[in-house]
Amino acid sequence: MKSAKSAWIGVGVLAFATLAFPARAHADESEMIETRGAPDRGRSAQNFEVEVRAALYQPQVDSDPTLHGTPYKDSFGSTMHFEVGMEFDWQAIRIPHVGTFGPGVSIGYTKMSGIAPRVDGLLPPSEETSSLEILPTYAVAVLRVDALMRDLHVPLVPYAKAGVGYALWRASNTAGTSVGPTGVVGEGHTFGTQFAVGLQFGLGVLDPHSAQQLDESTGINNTYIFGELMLSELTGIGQEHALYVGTNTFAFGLAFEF
Amino acid sequence: MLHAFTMRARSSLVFVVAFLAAWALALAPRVARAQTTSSAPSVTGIAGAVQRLEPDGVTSADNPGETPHPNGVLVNDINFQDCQANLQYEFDLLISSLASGYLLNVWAGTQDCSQLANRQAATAVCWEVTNAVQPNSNPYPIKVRMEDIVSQIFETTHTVTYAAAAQNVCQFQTTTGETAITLYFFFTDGAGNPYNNVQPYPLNVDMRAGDVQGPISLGVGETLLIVNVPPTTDPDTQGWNIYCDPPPGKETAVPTVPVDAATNNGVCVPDTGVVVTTSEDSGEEADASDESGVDSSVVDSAVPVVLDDAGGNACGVPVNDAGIPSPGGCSASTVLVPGGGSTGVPGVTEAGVSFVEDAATEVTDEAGVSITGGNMIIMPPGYLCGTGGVASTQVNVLGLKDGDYYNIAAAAVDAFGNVGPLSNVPCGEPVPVNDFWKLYSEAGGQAGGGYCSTEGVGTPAGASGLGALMLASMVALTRRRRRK
Repeated sequence: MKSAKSAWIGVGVLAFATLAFPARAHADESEMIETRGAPDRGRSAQNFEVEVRAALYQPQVDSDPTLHGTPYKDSFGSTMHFEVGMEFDWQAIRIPHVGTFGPGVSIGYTKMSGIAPRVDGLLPPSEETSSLEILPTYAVAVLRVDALMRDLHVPLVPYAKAGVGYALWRASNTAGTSVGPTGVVGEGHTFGTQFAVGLQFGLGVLDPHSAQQLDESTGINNTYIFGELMLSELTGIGQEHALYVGTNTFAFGLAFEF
Repeated sequence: MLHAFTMRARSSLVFVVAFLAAWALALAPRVARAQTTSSAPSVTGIAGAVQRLEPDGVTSADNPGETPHPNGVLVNDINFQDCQANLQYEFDLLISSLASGYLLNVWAGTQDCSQLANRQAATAVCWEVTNAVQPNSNPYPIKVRMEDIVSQIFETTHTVTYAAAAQNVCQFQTTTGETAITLYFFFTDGAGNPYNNVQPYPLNVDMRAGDVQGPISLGVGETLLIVNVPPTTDPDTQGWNIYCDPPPGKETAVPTVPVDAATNNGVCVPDTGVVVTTSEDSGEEADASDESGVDSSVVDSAVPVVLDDAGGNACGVPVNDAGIPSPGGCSASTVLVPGGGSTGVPGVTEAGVSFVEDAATEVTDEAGVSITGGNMIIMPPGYLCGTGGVASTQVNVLGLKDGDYYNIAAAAVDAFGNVGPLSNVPCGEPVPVNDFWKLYSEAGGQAGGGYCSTEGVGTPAGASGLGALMLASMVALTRRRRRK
């Protein structure tokens, strides 16, 4: 309950911050916020960012305090699995000498499989597989501090994200979607919170001429590689029963601003 | 003068008459022949759709009981099942100048059978598929048996005189692949040359599916078996049929029962919700067990059953339906025979299809030459328990009973729906397993129930609402800025 409560608080703060920005923006608009997407210094307009991302993923199923046992570990071990995903950010606001701020949405996919062992432990061993598929999504507010790169020509862009997460998941075996001993079907959804901090490295610094050509020909202003610490607390906010499918992990990938 | 003129005219007239007579005599045979040819009957076409009939003449439902035809059943395709069922075609031939005294010929072959040389060739490039008949109606219905059509495709020696083929011709194809042949309908003259039009009808024949290229193996799971099929390089193979004996749902009525360890020679009661306990040496709860240690009080089958024998010792290994201790094995299948079909249950299947052939069977061709049969099979449809695509290396057989033993075999299926010889027949026993969801549930997890499952109290204005609120605020911010 505590975690749910803290999550609610976090989301509330985030929402407040989001809603508060317009007031500040309105007050100091002429000075603090540039016109969104305006081209500068011969660059094309910049409004969006797309991330192609991968993350090491180990859902925190066993951290559910109502469980007695470690069903996830017993089924899939402790090995990390890969999640692949995409994120689309709208850089709705540019804050002069700070960076951009705006909403972003993401969708990913990960699957873990293992052999479901025989109950009796005898031979021949079981060849039946047991799997858990997760489709994590989130909606976040994203602040990217690109002033370092734009003003000081340091190709680093730190950023932070905060918002809500939502995942669809499905437990299955060789015969299809699993059904528990009491007849409960092994599929559902889980709500939670989503936070991340990360650092982008602008690849344009390696070949500014090519970066400029890429901008002129495709409208891609900047290309980055990034690493990110991601906290996905999918623990079922507002849900009575939830499968804990979130994870705290490290993500990395490529990002394109355009 | 007049006389001379008369004499000259008379002689001229005689000459003209003689010339005309000679001309008429010279032309007469040609005219006669022309009149004969134009009045001879000719097959000018086929009226309506060609029918496929059962041996009794009833329209075929296209191979009742056979494996579904991957390409759909085409009317001019002949597969093993068609041949084995002795189906026949019926053609309504359109005949012009219907007249008595002319015989209609029907030949099949891989060459042009309207040519006398091909019909008389030493090798079987053309063969007669029914006795020549004298049509008496137009259109004229004629039936041709598929056994006759395929009778000499795979022969080397040509049997010129028509004789109704036997069922063993269906086994003559020993290699995979289809053969294109053509039926020819025509009338012939006394020299064997066709009169007028020759009506062809193309057919495709394939009566042999490929072999399973290696032994299959079984993986066990809960209420299922996983059939590992070796990859195939045979382009003829289009998929796999998996057969089970016993078929799912037709296991014997006797439930799996535990038996005592051999040293005790005891027999435990069936594991069907009967509580069997003893206080003699287990030290557990005393109850109303009789001297044999059996309590016949029936309780909910979900209640764990404690089993013991008369001596108070724990019961030993269970046995399967066949009474074989587990882990043990299957009773030998009389239906699934490696390399072939059923030999132990001769007769007719539920679908009215005969069981045929096994690996050891040889067939004799019409020339009396013994050849190895195609080993093609028609399995009773009730034993089909799984199918897989050609790219599948694993086929799951679902709906089985844990603790029962199953004989499993695989067979390749080709595009014509032919089912090839059976693979080896391993034995498998489904067993309970612990998958993630079972472990989660047993650990107290209560999530799940579907994507539309009811959420907990308080959700309606919950997280998803907040997400929407965030996005809405962003949009509102932007729009306000634009208005400014």
